[in-house]
Amino acid sequence: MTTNVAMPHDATNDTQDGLDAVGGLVLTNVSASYGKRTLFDRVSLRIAPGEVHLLRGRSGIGKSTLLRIIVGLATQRVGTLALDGRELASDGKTTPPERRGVALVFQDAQLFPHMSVIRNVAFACKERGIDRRRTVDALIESLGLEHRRKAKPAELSGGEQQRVAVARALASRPRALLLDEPFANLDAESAVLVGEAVSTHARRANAPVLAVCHDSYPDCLGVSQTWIMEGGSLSCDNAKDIARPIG
Amino acid sequence: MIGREDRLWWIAAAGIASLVVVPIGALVVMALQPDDGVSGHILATQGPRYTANTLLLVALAVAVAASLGVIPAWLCTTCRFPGRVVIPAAMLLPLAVPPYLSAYAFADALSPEGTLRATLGNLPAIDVRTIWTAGFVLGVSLCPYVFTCARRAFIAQAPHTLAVARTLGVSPLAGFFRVALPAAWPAIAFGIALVAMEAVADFGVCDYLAVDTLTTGVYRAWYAQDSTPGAARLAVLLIALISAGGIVFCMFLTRDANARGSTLKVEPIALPKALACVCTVVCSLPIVLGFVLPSGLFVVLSLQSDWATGFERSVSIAGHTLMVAAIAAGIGACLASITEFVRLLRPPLAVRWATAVVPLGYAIPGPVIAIGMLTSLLWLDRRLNGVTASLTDDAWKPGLVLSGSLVAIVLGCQTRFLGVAIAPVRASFRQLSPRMLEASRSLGTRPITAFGKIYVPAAIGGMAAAFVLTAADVAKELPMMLVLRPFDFDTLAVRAYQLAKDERLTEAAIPGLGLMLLGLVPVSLLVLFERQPIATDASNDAEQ
Repeated sequence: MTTNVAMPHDATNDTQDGLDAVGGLVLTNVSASYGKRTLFDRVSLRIAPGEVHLLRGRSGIGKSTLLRIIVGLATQRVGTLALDGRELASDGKTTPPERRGVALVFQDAQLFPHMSVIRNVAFACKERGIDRRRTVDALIESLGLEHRRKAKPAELSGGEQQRVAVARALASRPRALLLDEPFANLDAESAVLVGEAVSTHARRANAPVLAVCHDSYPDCLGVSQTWIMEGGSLSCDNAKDIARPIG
Repeated sequence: MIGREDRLWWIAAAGIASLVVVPIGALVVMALQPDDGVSGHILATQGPRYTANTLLLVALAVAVAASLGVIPAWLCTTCRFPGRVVIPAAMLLPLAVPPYLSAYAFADALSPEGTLRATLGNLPAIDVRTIWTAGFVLGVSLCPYVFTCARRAFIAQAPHTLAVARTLGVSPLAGFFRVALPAAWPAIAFGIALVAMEAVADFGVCDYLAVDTLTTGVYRAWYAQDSTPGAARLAVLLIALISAGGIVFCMFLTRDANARGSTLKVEPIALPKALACVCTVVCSLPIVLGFVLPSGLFVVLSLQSDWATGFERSVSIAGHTLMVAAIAAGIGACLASITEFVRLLRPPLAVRWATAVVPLGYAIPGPVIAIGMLTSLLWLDRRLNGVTASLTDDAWKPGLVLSGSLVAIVLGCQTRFLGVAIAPVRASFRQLSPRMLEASRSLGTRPITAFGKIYVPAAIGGMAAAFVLTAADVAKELPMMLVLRPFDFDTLAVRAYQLAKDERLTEAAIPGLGLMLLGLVPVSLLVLFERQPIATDASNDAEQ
């Protein structure tokens, strides 16, 4: 069986041998299916701490499923998954999502409908022992949501909801951040705010970031690698990066 | 321009609304009349105790129903355990058993002379005729309302909101309390309101278990104390209590009622075997208590009874029951369609209010409606007899043609159950574009033609559902039948009640089982209706 992989930084060797030595997010020979259809087979990737990678591919090819596997909401058929040297899933053993330290920004925001913006953003602070006031206020300000603090999700535009979802994920101080189409509903100005917030988090927390992105994304996101999912395999080829950065 | 035909429709709607307004209005007028000595005494001496008991009964029933409804709804939606797919359908079975039959069964099972103690030997004596038992029985019988509402809300949002919460570091249990429960609250509040409404309106359970509430008090004041004004005053107090509850409910319902569904697919949580078995037991508890126990006991009792005689008697009574149920439900389905059609004709505000009043009759307890209807019809009968007497020089009087015949029962059932009939008809009408009527009228079609050729055929499924649901409710209705039935006219509910009151529970088993069988018809419809989310849920399981 072939391993559908093309690794930057010679990650093929890193994934197994350097699991303990090398931090970041490491997927090794992960396969997944939807019903009887195989979505991808034995794909591997590694995202070094503090790096932002993009994941591209046609609709329905399995990009979101890969994110759900990493965050723990779906299980892979085979393969291992590790974050900062700690194994999260392999051989039927899996760490529950709440103990992985991986946050996912969903494509449709998925805000808690009964909570205001500020309560949504502060949601995870209690569990993670984070100074709620400083963290939440700073994030709300940096994402241009100061005037919407007390609004409920139903009162927000699609772009505002998306920014709140990003703020909520960042407020949980994840050790790895995943984003599913984070710029889909955003205008150029908001996309830049989100891009800056994400890249700042990646840099400061030394957290790997993987973003599924169909179209354009802001330059300030600081993408260091693009992955293409195609025909059930994952390849790394910046030449195929056809989307243009915003700004 | 408003045509003459539109006005006729409005008058029809006002006439239908009068079925609710007139009996209640008659009671209010009677309650406002000067004190006759008895009614004031009843209100002063019994009113506070009845009110306190009613509130405690509602609190108990709501607590039991909420516990037995919300927890299984949550587990069935988010966890994987044996029976997860079947239990949601089976959870509707307790609705097939009228609460008063459950009360007879529990009382028999736990009383010193009862079946359970006879089988198991010396058990400690339990006093079952308490408000605690009544609250428990009502909670068990009515928990499917909470379950259904909670499950629909959980299916719409719990899996994905819980998944999001987990990605943010929150455990499933904390996620239930912090996210799923508050987000599903408007739907759960609706289920709880239904339970509260049914508990307030309950007559059969409280009367059998000797619990004095406002509803039983209204009946007792009218029947035992022979004071219709006293009954009217208690009834007005009861209506005020229900109205206050309705206002509180509306305040809770509108709060945070902004939950939305999601396309996010989430796997149910896989549980360890022991925990999965515990979940199966917990989720089966309401089904066992609310359906298996009472129906099983009634089957055992019916086998002990003189089956041939009991069955023969029950067949003729079942004939009465089916006849009343069919007439009342047929008329109810037609009136519900007319009421809903009038709403589409853009009527003036007064008519819109009138159509909005119609479903509220369901919130009024049976004895209140029965006494209000009887008072109104007696007044009409007197007027009718006066007119005929004056026209025929006292040669002929028709007698109590309205208040002493099936007319009273049929009209009383319209007052109480039109709300039940309106819901499915409204759902059917909503499937048509609101512009459909305007489009047909612009082509020269009269409203009556549009009603007959477009709306009735489109709503035929809804009307059939209205017929079945109303018929089942009419068949199970006890207090209105006790008050309004003509002489020597029993229904299954009345027969079972009278036999159980006389401690002849073995003989009550056959009419009781008949009622349960009738109750299974609408439950089957509900199961079919509920099958879609269950099937979707199950297919998600299969996919994942």
